[in-house]
Amino acid sequence: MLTVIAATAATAALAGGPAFGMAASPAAYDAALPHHNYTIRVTNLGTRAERVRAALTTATSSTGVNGVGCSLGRSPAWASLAGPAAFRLGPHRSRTVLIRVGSAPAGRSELVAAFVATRPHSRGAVVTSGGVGTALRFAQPGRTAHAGRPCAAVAAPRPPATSDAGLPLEAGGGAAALLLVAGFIVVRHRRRGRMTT
Amino acid sequence: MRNAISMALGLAAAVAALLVAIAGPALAAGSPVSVNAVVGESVTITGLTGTVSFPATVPGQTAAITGAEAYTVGTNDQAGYTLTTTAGQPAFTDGGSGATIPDSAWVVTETGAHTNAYNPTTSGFTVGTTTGAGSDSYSENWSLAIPSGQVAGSYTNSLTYLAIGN
Repeated sequence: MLTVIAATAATAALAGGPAFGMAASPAAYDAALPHHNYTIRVTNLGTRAERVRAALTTATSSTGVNGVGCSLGRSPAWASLAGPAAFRLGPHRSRTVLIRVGSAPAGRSELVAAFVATRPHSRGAVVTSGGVGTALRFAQPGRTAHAGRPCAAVAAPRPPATSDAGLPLEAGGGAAALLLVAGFIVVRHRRRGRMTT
Repeated sequence: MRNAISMALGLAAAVAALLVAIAGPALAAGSPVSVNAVVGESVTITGLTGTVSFPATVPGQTAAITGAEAYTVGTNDQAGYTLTTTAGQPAFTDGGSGATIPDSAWVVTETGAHTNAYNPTTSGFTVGTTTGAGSDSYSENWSLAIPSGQVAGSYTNSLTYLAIGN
């Protein structure tokens, strides 16, 4: 038997078009199992680096068409994200995130892993940011997993940082460390110079 | 020597005939080769601008922006996606004076794939839910009614769009 695996994204970023774009793959795990690990691939389809916040939450109730079933920041004790809760994702770069699932309690048949870009504050304006999420639905006898449950994403914009001027925070830290090392070498060199003269 | 060559040629011919006999029926019958293609599913959101600024407006008037945001949400998941928006704060806040304008004064009117109008809230609003694969273009007009007597300042808030596969 010949197996051809061809993974494709639903849509691609328009050439020369919008700067923002994110994708999560797969879109859902419809038959997730307790005590299993699941991977989600997060891709920055945009043309600039994004600071991404990852969050896990459960859908606990349905309150109608416009009701809110879940709210980010309420991470359940029975599931966890492997890796940092926030990370930087460069343009057109992907990152695989592992979800560790423990015992999904009865009555909570859905877990949402959301990845939201966090943007810096902008005085006198509304900062808009986007995110994508993957729903893990657990098949439980006698229960029907809910589909299409809305999920509120409370992602407070981060304050202005050095990275917004184009220098990533990580790069900034690296530069500071380099400066310290360079300074140390210069001081030591001068002291040696004094000793020899 | 000639006999040896003849024997070798004869043996080679016999082996070739045997191979053709073995392979022949299978090729002639056209045995099918199974081919599976697995297409990964994903959900995407593209095109958000990042910052939207209302024009300076005096108290008692309404600031409005046509086409404040235009973006695309799509999935190749056969179950579709759900798109929600969530305000970052319950009110616009001026960092200097601390004065606020409640989110109830903020109206987002969807004119694209799903048409509706709503006040963004911190508990979220479902902009649209689809039931099949495909992508949709969204376009929004925004307005903010500035209350009478509102303190002058630069008011800030945020709005997060989240698309989740169904």
